[in-house]
Amino acid sequence: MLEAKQLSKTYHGKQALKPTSFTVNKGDIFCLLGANGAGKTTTINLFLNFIQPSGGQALIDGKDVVKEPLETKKLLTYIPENLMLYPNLTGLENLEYFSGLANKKYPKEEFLRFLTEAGLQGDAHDKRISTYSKGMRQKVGIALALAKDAQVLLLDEPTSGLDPKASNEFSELLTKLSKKGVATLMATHDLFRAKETGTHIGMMREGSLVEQLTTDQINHTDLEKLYLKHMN
Amino acid sequence: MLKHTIKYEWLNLLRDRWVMILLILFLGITVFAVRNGKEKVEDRMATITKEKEKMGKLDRRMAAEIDSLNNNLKPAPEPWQDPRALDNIGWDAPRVVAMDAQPLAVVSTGQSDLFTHYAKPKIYGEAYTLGFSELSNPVQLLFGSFDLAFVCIYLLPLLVLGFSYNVLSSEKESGVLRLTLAQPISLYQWLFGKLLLRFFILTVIVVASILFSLTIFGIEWMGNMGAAMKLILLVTVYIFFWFLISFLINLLGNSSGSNAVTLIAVWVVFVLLIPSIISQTANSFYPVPSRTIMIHEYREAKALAEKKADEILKTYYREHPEYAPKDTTQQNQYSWWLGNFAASDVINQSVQPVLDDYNEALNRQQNWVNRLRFLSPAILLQDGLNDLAGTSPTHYTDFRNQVIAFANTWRHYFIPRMFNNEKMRAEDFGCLPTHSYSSAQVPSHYLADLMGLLFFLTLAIGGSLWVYRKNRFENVFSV
Amino acid sequence: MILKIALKELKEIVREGRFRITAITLFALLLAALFVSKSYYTSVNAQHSEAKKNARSEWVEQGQKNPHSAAHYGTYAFKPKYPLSLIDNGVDKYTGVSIYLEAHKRNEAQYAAAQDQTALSRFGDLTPDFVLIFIVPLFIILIGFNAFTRERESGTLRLLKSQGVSTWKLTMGKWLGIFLPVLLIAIPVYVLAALFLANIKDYGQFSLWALTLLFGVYLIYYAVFINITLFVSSLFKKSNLAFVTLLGIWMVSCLAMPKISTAIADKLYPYPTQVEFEEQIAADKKKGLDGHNPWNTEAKKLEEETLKKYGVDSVQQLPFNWDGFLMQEGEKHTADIYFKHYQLLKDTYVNQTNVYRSTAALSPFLPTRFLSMAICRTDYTSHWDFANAAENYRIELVGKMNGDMAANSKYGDWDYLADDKLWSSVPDFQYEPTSYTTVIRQNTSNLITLLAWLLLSFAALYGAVTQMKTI
Repeated sequence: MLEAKQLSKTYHGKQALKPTSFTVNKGDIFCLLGANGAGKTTTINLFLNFIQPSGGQALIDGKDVVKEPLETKKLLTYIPENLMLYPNLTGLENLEYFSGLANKKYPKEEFLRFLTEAGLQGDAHDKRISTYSKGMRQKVGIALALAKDAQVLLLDEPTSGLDPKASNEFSELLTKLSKKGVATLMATHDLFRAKETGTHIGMMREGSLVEQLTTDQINHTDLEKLYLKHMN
Repeated sequence: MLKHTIKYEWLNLLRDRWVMILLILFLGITVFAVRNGKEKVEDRMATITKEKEKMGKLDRRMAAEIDSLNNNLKPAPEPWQDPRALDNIGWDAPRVVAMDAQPLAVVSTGQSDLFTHYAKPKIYGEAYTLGFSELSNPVQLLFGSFDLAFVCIYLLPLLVLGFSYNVLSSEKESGVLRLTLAQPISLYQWLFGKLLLRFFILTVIVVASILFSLTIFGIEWMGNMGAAMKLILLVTVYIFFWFLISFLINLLGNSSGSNAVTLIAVWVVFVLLIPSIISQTANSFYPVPSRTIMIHEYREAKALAEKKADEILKTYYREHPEYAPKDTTQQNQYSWWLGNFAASDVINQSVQPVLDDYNEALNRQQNWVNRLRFLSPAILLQDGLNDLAGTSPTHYTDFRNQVIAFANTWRHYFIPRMFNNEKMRAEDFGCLPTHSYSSAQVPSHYLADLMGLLFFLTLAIGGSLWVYRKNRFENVFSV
Repeated sequence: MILKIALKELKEIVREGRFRITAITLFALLLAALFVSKSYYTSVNAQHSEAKKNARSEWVEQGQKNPHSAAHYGTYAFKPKYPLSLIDNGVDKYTGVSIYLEAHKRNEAQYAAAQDQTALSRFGDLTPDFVLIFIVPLFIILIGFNAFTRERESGTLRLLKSQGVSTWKLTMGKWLGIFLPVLLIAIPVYVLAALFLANIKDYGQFSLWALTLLFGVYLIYYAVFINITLFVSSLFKKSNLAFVTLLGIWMVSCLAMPKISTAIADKLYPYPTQVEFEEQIAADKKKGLDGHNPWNTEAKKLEEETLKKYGVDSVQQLPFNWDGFLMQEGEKHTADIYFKHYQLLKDTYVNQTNVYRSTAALSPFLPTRFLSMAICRTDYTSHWDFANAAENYRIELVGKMNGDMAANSKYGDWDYLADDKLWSSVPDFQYEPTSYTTVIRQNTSNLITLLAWLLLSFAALYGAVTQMKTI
């Protein structure tokens, strides 16, 4: 579903991402681990076509994101580290607005159902975003994925700063979506969650993908050891 | 898609307290500005009406007196008070030559605070020496009036900038933009939609405020739909220009603070600096010769003419044989005046070159400014509004020329009759020459001003396209 | 400590590209304005002295005339232009430059430059005062609006506070950091202006003291704006909001307040129109003595009294020419009428001025504007002073003419002619401007308002920064 083919990015002469290739299939949750500045966000930005690749291709459902930016964006939902929405609009209105931008229109009840499914309590639906906590805003992001019927989820450290309970809820939602066949690419620092929720793990260092493995190949302790080995 | 963006943008704006406060403030400012304009125009028209009424009253009184004198109901008054003498009518009962206010005069004070709006040219005296200066506190002239033109030229751009400087940057800074751009949309279209809505809302509010203010102060704009539409069109184009400037600066993808500073710099350059620089160059490159020199020449010519009054009258008769007395035995009661008329012609002739030089210099300065006004949309708007309000310098020059022309008409009504030694009759009051003001012969700048503003609009669009082509929003994400 | 902070601020400001562009532009504008003003001043002064010479020679060489006819012929008084007007041209553009002095009539100054200029001149001219009073405050806002918000946004304010730096010292450092660049621009302009003015030959009345006072006023004005800028910056969390608020303050105090005050002054104390004013005078004249009309009731009364006083039966027997005497009495009477009406006009003007003085509490621009014009002698008060001097000269001139006629000719002898001996015995019109002590006294309230702005804005700044929250 998601495919990086020798994808690279150079900023002002510095290689932020060295030629990298990987694939994320339907139902997979691919977790990118690595220190700050290792190239995780750059990879995600490239899939979003926010920045132009210096070499290689980023493909979503076989389509090049540079050549068909609108087609590929129809398929994906993006949740950044801190999902920001319009503070003066309610959760429901924000959901309606962003789904509308993706040309998805539903009756109101349907939108409410998406919000509930994403775990947002009913009494919050009609409150302004300015009253929401971070976890609640992330849930609106999930609801947007549901509304858009997204095939691909791009997550940039979505659980950092969430309390363990909210973080756990979020992971459960991800698992639910992956069972529906959604391909997820997630940048994270949370080794525990990566092992629990992810199906695949990629480790990055200084712009290179130095390790790729599936989570069922390894246990928690070995994962941590492997991570530290790569980081040093 | 555009509709969808606009719908939610509307919802967003509606819930923004600041936007609402700003708009209500604007309505208040407009009402205040139109009230100030209205007050000035009312004063102006009241003076003219009063003056005309006084003239009518005097005419009726004099006509009645002539009747009673002719019927010997009253003893003959002193010669200088006898209404039957033509010179007394020509001197004491001058016509009011007034410059009526245009329907939209309230819009712009223009030059109207500098000049009086009527003159009473008499049978004798050079019309160009008539004073047109209005009595006023020069501090008020220095500070200028708070009229609709000020609101539109100075404040409206700031309102537009305040309304739009961070359309893109605030979303970038708050982070919403990342989510927006993850959707299958064109950023260009989306941003344009947002600005278009803001432009639309602001224009509707501005136009509604202006029309509302005009209505509550009883200004007949519906009857002058043409002029009102011209006003609205001009202001709308100006607003649109500032929105495009804002769009252009937003496209550069800088932060809100940087946008605000850049936009204010643009405002200062267009609204404050360019006009003052052009005005200064006009004074430096095309200085108007001192009026004091003109006074000197005039007084010299006059002194000379007075010395040679007899000789001048003889020459005059030679040049105008039709005026030469037919019956030499009868003493013409106006003989003193006749000499003066002749002298006046001589004075006019000798002062004419100085006057021409002077007007030439004024024209050169005006032409320079007329050409350079295309350097700033603010000057174009001022020019256009003055044009609509009928308060531009051209209008006042034209009016002065009308006064001079009428002074001539007035004099030439009397001259042949005085040479014939005629007397004023009561029924003659109805046939005295009258003046009615029309600004029809003032060349209108409106179309040129509008074209100039449209040119700026095109420049701003071109600039936006260029910026768009050039950086394609790379900046948006290089935080 | 304070100096260290100031230097750090200065470094930060100077390193910003924005500062360099605006500072250079500002400096270039000031220089251009100064040069242009100087050439304008020189040419106006040349015209002025020529006109003055012309007027005098016209008067002296008018030939043999009856003295009263000479009084009718009259002469002109020209308003001198003072050296400092090249810094601030004040209302000079809107007041006339010459007053026609003739018998029986007080004329208004005529030929204001603005009447001959294009509508563009209403935007203002690029003169030093335009830059000093409008643009420099904008410059201050531009370099100072984020003095605190920047540190707050980046979190350095917390860091500084945790280092135990006193906020007041920090503020004073920042204050100096803004004031120094302003001073850096102002000082060369001051020096250059002093050099220009010292080299101007015609009017020797330039005093360095006045120029220094003028710059002092401007520096106080800038200090007020720096205080306001830092005050607002310390209140807001975001630079944007601080900037927009400061811009609003600038707009209200420099653009809107003067115009609003004008509207209020005009509403409360309207000036009569030229026509109304003339009509009121004409009405009063009609009631009283008419020097040219011996049949006038007042004139008859005067005749009877005079005859009684000299113990003669007819005007022919009087030891002087009755016509000349009567005309002088008429002149005195009209002069009184003019005095009365101009006094009324002056009352209106004083009332309007008081309106401006009270609205000055809402805008530091207003007291500065008035002080600057007053020091440069281009304010309305200076114009009044000149007009009054010209009127006194007119009364004296006409009195001398009528007196000569009364003393040296017989009643009914309108053929009596005087010559240039009499004309040149009238001294040329000389006008001495009011002393600076008077100028200062007249502007005490403006000075007090400006100083109050300075103190109150300092106090507000102090209050705000000492209670400032770090987040």
